[in-house]
Amino acid sequence: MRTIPRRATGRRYRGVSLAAALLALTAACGAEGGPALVAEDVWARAAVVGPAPAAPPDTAAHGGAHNGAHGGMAAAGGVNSAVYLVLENRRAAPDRLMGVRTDAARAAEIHLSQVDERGVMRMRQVEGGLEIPARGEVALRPGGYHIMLIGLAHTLEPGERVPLTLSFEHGGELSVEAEVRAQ
Amino acid sequence: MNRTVRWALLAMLLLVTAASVWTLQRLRPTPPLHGNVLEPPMEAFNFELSSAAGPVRLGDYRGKLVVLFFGYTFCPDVCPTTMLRLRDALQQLSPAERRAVQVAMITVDPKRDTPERMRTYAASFDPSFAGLSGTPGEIGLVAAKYGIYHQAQKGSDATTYLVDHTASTFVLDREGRLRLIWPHAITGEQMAEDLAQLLDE
Repeated sequence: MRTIPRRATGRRYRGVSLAAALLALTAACGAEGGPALVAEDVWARAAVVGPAPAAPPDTAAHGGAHNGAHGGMAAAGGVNSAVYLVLENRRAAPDRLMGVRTDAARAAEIHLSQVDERGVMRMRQVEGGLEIPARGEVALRPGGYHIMLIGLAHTLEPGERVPLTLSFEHGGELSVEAEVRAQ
Repeated sequence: MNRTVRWALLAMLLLVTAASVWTLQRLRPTPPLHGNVLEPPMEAFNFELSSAAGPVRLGDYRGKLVVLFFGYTFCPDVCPTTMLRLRDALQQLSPAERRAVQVAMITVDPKRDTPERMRTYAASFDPSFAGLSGTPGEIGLVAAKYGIYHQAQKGSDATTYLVDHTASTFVLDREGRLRLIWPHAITGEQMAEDLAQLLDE
């Protein structure tokens, strides 16, 4: 605790509240108990979910991906999109992003895209969570890590905000809003 | 030497200088094309696939530059990025140049990507973009002819399966010959430069 020099009586209370403000600020800046995880520049790719073409009744009921040519948008798994962000970990210990929940899609998973030296693109779900280094950050950007939104519930219009809940191994949960961008 | 000769020499010098400058200008190398440049150009496989509006042959596009991308609509990251860059590239061309370029996306996931789905997907980036599908056999043949690797991979319950695939883009000239293979990392600006150059030929 910093020592605030004692001044004339009238200024003493101001000194105390200044100390309190400084203490609060220190706590918010990463000491144990402050916000450990911060999400920045959270955005989602715009996507259009069209009306599902008329499908035979049995395929509509199935909803799986094995319906072949007549499944239509919904039965074929729908339309997907991706969310990108930068995650900062202010704690002295590493953490992991374990999962994502949202009402905007049927499911959300953490994926990594990689293009190898032959030009082959592979996308894989990240198993065991995505590590965020101690006092560091991890960036989810196009062509790399991303949160895949699987089976969008509705069209994502540019400018719209999509609520998401991120779950961490140690840091609890963080509610964020992704800004939909046309890029 | 007398005056006439001196003037004549001066005139000749000027003429030679002018001729050299003109020649050097003409011989100035054009900026290199990006990606893998096929020299000599290769004959491109004349596929026949399905669009939502009916069958489409590569030959239908003869007279335009053709930009072929192999991807699938289920992929939310790499494929949209390429399509967006292609859209940006086209926007950097003049309207006349734009009309002379045909972008077509061919699915590597024919089981899920019907011709209808491909049309909606492609058109969502630009109304001129074509989306093509076919039977697994037809797609397999086209992919093999273009050297496109594609392999379904088991995913989660939610994604069921994902498809690994070559993420390169193929550029054919107006005579239907394969000229360029762009890597995934190419920018929209580089694409626009290459397209403009090929249109100038």
